[in-house]
Amino acid sequence: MSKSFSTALKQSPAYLLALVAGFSLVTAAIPAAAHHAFSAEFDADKPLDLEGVVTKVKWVNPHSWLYFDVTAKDGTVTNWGVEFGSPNQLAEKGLKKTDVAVGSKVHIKGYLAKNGGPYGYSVITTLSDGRKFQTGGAQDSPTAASAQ
Amino acid sequence: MQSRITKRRVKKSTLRTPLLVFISVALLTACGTKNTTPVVETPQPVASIQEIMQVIVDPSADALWESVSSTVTSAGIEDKQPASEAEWLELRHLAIGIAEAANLLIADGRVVAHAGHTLEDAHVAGILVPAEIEQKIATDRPAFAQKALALQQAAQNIIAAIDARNIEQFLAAGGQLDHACESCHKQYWYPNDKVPTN
Repeated sequence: MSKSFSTALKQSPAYLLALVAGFSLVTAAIPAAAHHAFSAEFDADKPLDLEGVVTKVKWVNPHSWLYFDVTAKDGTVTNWGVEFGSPNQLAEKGLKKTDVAVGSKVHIKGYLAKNGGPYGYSVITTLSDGRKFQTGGAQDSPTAASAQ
Repeated sequence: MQSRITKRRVKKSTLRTPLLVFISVALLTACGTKNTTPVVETPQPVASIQEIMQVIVDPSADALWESVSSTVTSAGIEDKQPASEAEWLELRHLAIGIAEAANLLIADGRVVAHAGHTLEDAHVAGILVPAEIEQKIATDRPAFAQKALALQQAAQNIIAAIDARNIEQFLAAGGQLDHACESCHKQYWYPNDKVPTN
């Protein structure tokens, strides 16, 4: 790193903020917010169909995230994370933050992440009251019909 | 009376001398004239489009998006948003960076990636290589410029939301930024992205 660059870094809190935010995004278990093709992160040939109990929801641009506990037949509990659309896209579809309560049941249809972990892309989300929402809102998302 | 031949010779010699003089003067003037227009060196593209994205657009967009969120857990709702004028100002600087990066992206002579550099996700089917992207851009530069304009307009909307200190407006503008990014990437970076078809 050149002296001029390191000096600029110290004098630019905004740049530091951006770097920290970007770094923490990259090192998190979930995919970074940086744009990727759908197929770079998710497998179009591996649909997922899971039911579980909501543990956490993060409403954030460009993609919100829903985390939920899935209990297997043997009793093993796995916490899954699925990608949603942006908060505004979801709101336009009628899905509010209060609709997805922690502790409520949820049914997710979508596609598995390629990172091998319990992650995926949500296309259809069915809430405990029976309402269905197309929660995959990115332009590169598959259509709802493909996840039926 | 002069013969026809004599008249012709006289006519030629009458015209030839002034013509030669004129040509000589013209040539001497040209040789003696100095080029008074100075050649001014101007900045040229240094970074590739890939580097503009990696250094400016990507980290700035990530920081802008992450600056506002609501996280709901069993412990309650944690809202995150700028809490001071200094934080708002930092976000504004990031948005300005993206707005001006749009100008950088369309600069003549800027390569997609430097020789020997591969693009992110190059191993994924459907991702174009730099040469292919160069060709797409060269085929219709105005179309590429429109994508850059959309990026800039989204950044300007973010700036407007920041100036208004309006969180809802900021979130909406953040969504527009995502749309601008995706629209361009879908056309130039991964037009053949494999998405579910059944």
